[in-house]
Amino acid sequence: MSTEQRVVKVVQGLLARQKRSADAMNAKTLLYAGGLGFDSLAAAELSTLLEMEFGKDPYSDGKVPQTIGDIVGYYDASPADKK
Amino acid sequence: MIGPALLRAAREAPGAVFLLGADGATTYADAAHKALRVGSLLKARGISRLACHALDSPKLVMLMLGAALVGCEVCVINRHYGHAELESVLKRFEFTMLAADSSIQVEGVTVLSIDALFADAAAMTPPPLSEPHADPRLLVLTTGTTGLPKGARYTWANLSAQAKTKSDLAGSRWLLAYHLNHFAGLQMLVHVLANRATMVIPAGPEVEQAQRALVEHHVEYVSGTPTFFRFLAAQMPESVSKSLALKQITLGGEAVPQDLLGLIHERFPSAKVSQIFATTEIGSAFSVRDMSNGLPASLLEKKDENGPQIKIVDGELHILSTHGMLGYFGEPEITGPVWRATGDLVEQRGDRVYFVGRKSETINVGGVKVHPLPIEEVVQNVPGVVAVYCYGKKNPITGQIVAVDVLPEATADRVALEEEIRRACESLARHAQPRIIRFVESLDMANRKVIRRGQ
Repeated sequence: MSTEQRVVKVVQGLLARQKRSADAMNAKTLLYAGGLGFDSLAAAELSTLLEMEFGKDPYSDGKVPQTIGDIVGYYDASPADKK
Repeated sequence: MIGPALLRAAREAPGAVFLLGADGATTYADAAHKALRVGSLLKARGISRLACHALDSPKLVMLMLGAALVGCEVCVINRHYGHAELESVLKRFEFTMLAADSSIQVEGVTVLSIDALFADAAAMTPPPLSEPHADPRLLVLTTGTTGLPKGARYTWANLSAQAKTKSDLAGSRWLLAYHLNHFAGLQMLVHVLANRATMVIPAGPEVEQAQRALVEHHVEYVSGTPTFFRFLAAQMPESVSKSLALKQITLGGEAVPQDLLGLIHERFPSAKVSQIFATTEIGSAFSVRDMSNGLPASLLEKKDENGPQIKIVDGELHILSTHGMLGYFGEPEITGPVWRATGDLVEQRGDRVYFVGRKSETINVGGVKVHPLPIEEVVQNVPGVVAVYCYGKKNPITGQIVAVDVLPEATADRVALEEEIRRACESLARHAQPRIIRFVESLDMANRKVIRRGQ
């Protein structure tokens, strides 16, 4: 599975918990207002889910990704634990 | 007073059984005889402060009472402490003498074998029955479920003053379901002695051993933590639990969820249930028997000089302590009644005061304060959940988020159970909904309470 596929899977999992349909998404999909609509609580949960999937997460590193692509870019730039 | 009470019981009811352990029965006369001897030995050796690191046993009880008889301050340390924890506690509370039931060695501390102490005491010339010490002390360590244990200084007299006596309790059988290092275990000891009842001591620290002692020795009274009873109900076949001749179950030490009261009523139908509110610092404050969780708000209006008095200050329960500790180790002594904060956060809803969590455990989710106990209650009610622990997990965005560790039934389908838990938690405010649900094989315990430390 590519990094992007793994990230998309994590985000879809979060949407499913919120009982929202997991629409098709791509690297350009915005995470917050105007996109998936995540608020701070959802972002907090996303950071934890990413940490569980990859062993680290961009938010804890002080980054605030705006898109799916930003998250993918973070992991591609600093390879995380492979599962 | 503990020493005179023991000597009086030995004179007036010498053959009555005081302690029932794995190795047989000890009568009040036996116990007084051995306690006097071992106490005299401590005195002869000039030991005025003694720490004990031993499993609960009749010998440990007699050593503690022997120390009390001669005015030697005693402190029982959690037997589950490993070497490093033991060493740190001994140093912090300045103990240089340790009685142990193992061959443990600690630098700077003289370690005495408990068996050897009793053997030496037996070989002594019987000491004269002189007056017991007037004001013996003890040091009671707090559970430390939320940090390092603190040392609460007590007089045996204040501890004994909390015990209620009733004439029909003579000869009744009580299970020691707390450990003797724990305040509630000591309360049990003074209560049994004051009533000339029998204390049944399980062969070991596991719930299973307590269960066996309960059945074998026809125990009538059990006082334990909600966690203890939850595990007891989970392990004990219903046919056995329903056939027990239990007269009373007393819950204490942790907040009592409503579902547990129902479970206890169903599994132990013969037992009356009471909930006791006590802390190491305050002592035993009051009990309620109305089979509901929380406290009746009417307690807030009670201004009875002799009864318990409580008040709520900034959401925290405060209690007027009349026979509590003298103070923490290293602090000045306070005698007489004193208001003490309990660290328990409460909310008054209608005519009830509910416990919502410990002050130190409040979870801060993006500035919103979330209390763990109401969340635990929701999760606990999901079929398939044996036990649950809720805590705050560090988070870079909101500071903390709510996480739960869940001990599932062995046969539970974990995927389906997680979904059920999430569905049940939809009834909670969004910030309080657990964001992390982790299934665990066991929950850490200290003194049969779930260890509560956030991550």
